[in-house]
Amino acid sequence: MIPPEFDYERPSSVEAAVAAVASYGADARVLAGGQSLLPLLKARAIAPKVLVDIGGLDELRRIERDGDSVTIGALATQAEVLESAAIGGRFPRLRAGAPLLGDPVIRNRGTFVGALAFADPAADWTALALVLDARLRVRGATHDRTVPIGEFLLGAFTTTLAPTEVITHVTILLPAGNSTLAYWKVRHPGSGMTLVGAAVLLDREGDSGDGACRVAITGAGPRAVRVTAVEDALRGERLSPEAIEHAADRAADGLELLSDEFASSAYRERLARACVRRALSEARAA
Amino acid sequence: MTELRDVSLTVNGTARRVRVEPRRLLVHCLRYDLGLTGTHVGCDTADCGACVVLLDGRAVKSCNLLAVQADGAAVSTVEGLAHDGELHPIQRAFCEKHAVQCGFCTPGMLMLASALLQRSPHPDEAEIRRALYGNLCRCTGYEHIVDAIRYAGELPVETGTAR
Repeated sequence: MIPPEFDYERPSSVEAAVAAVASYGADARVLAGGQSLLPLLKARAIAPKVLVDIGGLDELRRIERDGDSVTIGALATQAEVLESAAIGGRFPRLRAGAPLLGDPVIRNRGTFVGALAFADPAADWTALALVLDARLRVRGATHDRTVPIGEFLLGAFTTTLAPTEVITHVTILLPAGNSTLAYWKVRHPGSGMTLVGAAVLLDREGDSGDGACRVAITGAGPRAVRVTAVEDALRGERLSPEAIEHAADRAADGLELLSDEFASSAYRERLARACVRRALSEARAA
Repeated sequence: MTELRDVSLTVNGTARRVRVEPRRLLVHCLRYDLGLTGTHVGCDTADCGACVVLLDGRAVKSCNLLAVQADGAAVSTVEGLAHDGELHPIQRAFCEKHAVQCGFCTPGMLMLASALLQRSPHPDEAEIRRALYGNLCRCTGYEHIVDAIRYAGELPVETGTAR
């Protein structure tokens, strides 16, 4: 499959990239790793007049830790994020559990920021970004803004990013030292794509456990969301298997559930509960 | 027609220059512009990994990458594995362990495996299977492929280390 014709620009500064994107607007697409964009082009699902390739902007490749804050540039690949001391080193189970996140060759090219921007309803990274309270730094020609991932994601493949804007970085505030992160998902057996996944960040401060956690689900509905019903159910609770079971029962509370040829909404609801239960158990055991 | 672009690549250690449309996929550039047909197009949807090459040492799916994106990079393809008629250890291992059936996925498997061995010279079975997740074998010959990669990792260091 051959992509449609397009003009190609490879700006040499962030300012030039932002200016190009701002002037072309909806006629342009930003190319970083291209692991979601290329398949769309090849399928001719989209036909932008211009591709603005930010691949030459090395300053956007960095993953930098400053105190408790980690900044991930728009060109940092998912593999680099998993290998980084700041993220992969801090969450070794995430690195060890990497088979849960896409395919390793795609992760060598696909960027972390791009995965958030693509907003696939069943993306793994969006759920992780939600529990890590990721904030996206967005630039336009005359403004810049910071938007929390929970506000950024609007629906399936839909975000608040305007066609005239570029995401330059994502910032994550690292949680308390002994917090644990777990991710559990169920794949579609044929395609290997995520059906439903659950991310849990558990605050282990004062171990006997006051159950303070963040929980997010992806794949159940049109966008990944925090599941406050589960978080509320665990607050102040000892994290016994019974408490986890009880809280996980509320995993689908308030969720807008998708139903399609791959899974009915009833099945997704069951998967949401199962994934949350397993991710909580794993975070507790870690 | 959109403006053609000059792209400079170091392919298997040799500097190459091509003039391509921006929409030219790297795999088509390798096969049609540079005549390196060892890199295969399997699914063409970035699922199967038959087109895996190394870009600056990292395994990537060359059907899911524009040639212009690789400008200035070093590209390693299956043609570059053997040296002076001497097979690369991973190629020898594939022969000895019968890791080739129809052979279509083999170039991608070899490149993936060579990158894995470079990073992790003695991978265990779980690590190999994780690494292979994005490479499909339509003959379902995975057992022998896994065996071959593990075997290549056990070859004596002087020959067993991927170049």
